[in-house]
Amino acid sequence: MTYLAVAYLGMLVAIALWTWTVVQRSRRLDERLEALERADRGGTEATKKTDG
Amino acid sequence: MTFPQTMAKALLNLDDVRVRRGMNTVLDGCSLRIETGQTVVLAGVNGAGKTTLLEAAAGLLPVENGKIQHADVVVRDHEGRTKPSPLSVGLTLQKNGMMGSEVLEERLQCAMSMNGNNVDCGPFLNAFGLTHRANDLIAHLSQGQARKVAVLAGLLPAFASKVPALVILDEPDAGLDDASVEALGGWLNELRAMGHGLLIATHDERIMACATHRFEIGQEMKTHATPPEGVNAQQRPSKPVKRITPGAFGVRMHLRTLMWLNTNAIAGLLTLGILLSFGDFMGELNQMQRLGFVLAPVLAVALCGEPLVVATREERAADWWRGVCGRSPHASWLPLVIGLVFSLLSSTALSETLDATIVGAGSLLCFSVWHGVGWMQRSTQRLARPQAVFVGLLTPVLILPYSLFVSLLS
Amino acid sequence: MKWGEALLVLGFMGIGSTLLLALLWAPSVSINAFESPAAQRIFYWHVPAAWAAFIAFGALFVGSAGWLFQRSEWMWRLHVAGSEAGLACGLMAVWSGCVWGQAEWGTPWDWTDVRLNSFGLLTLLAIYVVLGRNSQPDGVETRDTFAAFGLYGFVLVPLTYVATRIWTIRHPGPVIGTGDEGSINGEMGLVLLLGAISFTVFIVGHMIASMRLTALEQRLESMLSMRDGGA
Repeated sequence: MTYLAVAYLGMLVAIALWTWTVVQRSRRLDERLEALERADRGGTEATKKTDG
Repeated sequence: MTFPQTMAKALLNLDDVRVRRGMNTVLDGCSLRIETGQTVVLAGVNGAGKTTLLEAAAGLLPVENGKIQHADVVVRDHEGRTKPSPLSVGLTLQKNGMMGSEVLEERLQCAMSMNGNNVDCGPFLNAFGLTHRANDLIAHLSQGQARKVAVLAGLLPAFASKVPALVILDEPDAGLDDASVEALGGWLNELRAMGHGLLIATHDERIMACATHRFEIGQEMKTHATPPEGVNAQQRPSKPVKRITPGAFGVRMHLRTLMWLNTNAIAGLLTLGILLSFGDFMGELNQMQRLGFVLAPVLAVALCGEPLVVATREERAADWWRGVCGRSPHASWLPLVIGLVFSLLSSTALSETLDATIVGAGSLLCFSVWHGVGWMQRSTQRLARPQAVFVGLLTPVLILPYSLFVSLLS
Repeated sequence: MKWGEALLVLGFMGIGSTLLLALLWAPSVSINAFESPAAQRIFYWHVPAAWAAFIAFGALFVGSAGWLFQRSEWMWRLHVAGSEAGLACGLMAVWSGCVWGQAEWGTPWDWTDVRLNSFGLLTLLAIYVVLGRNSQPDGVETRDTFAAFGLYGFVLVPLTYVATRIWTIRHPGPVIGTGDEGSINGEMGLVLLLGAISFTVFIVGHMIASMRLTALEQRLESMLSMRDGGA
């Protein structure tokens, strides 16, 4: 029963880690994309002001 | 030699071709036709797609749309069909397309042999100042000298050909001195006068002056300023020679460089050595198990695959072979011999008996697994970084067939 | 919280519950039928994992074919999601099968077992596809090559089946418990069903999250490329 519990828990931890990695990667990408979009918007507004 | 030109014949026809490289569509809706006696120069800034067009014309790149024809044969189409070119193709890629272990003159003879004829390459070597290097390895040449050899390997098949040939040259002037560019221009005019079709990417005005047509990607083909008149093809008698196949070339390279020993044989010798270090254990095994152990060193030899796949990545040598004859170099019959030797060695060392069936089976096993793994290795050649892919992960797929083979044999 | 992530959490909780029920609530199998009755509890994980792997490999096949024949971006994302999910579930199915095999047969691997061999080879293929793809820049060459391997995986299954059948005919496999091992009672069925549903929800959630992740990566890459071009 012990090896069974170890095998079970090992797999549970493994899929938890895998899921955590996917969610974290997704969050980091979201943040990076938002930062890039903010920078782009900032650049466009600055250009508009200079033009005006 | 010139060909009767009663009617112009299409040598190359690109019809509404679309090619993607990486995430970009480099060519879209590209159509181009080259007939006998035409020299088409590709013009455009860097990154316009000249090299992509040349490589697509040589049949090296898959097309997403349209088709590419050499004479009457479709060599590539958008449904993935490929056929070898019926023409004699002279090809100089942006990389030199040669392995360092090739000998200069041998390389030129090899290029010419593709159409079954050759000419005396002495005058060409002389004009390029390479006569004294004729018997040297490519690896011993300077970059400029190696480039000259690559250019000659693209031109000479057309000079030797008895029928109109297609010559595809990607920046042949790059790295050449002034005198060599002059000589090259003369040869290009001569080839056009002979009735061959040429497709050249260049930025050099002296080479552009040889063109009958100028093509800018995304535009219609334009007739160029009149090329030099009164160019006469010199008499260069050609004589028939035996064709050097990718297999014959592969065996020659294997024997010259001993890459089979470095990659394959060492794995077999180590496996045999490890088995021998276990002492006399064969007596306790049944027949199938004994056979499995006797053939294990042979399997180890073959599982290492085709070392030529890695070796011909040098300067894109494999692509040059695919462009001129449709196949990459391979070890041909060599695995049969290596398998035979290892089966003999293993049988003698492990079971102290010699059985012709086992030796023959070992030889066949080595041949089929060697070429099977070679096929897996080649399937990744199109990738940007083929060396970063672990083809070895796929080899366990051979375990079951090996078990069945041993089982059927016992 | 996004759709995929919600399904992931739900599926994960279901898997955790299955684990608890399998260890603490599900009844034991007949001692006579199995060499190692306790090890049989791993089936509550093994069978649903194999089922989820089957879904993922199916997605890998459909995605590969969709990319090769339709050039669909969505299908490529399905290929990526299917290969990653197939790798994870395939590893779980093979690993749990090995644990059970060691306890029941005395050997972790049986070359006569079609399912074990199919899953083993498909999982290796998934490792190859995932590692290989991650080593390459994204592009049509990379996609074509690995989509072709995705299709090759599907051919592998019947080939493995034929090979193992011939092998089994020539060398009868180990005798696996006889008697009533085929029957499962109500509680066992309930735990298995919960496991199968949880794993399905989990793997679908994973594939949705993974497809979104690939889409984000592609968007980021195109934004960066535009900046390269615009600089």
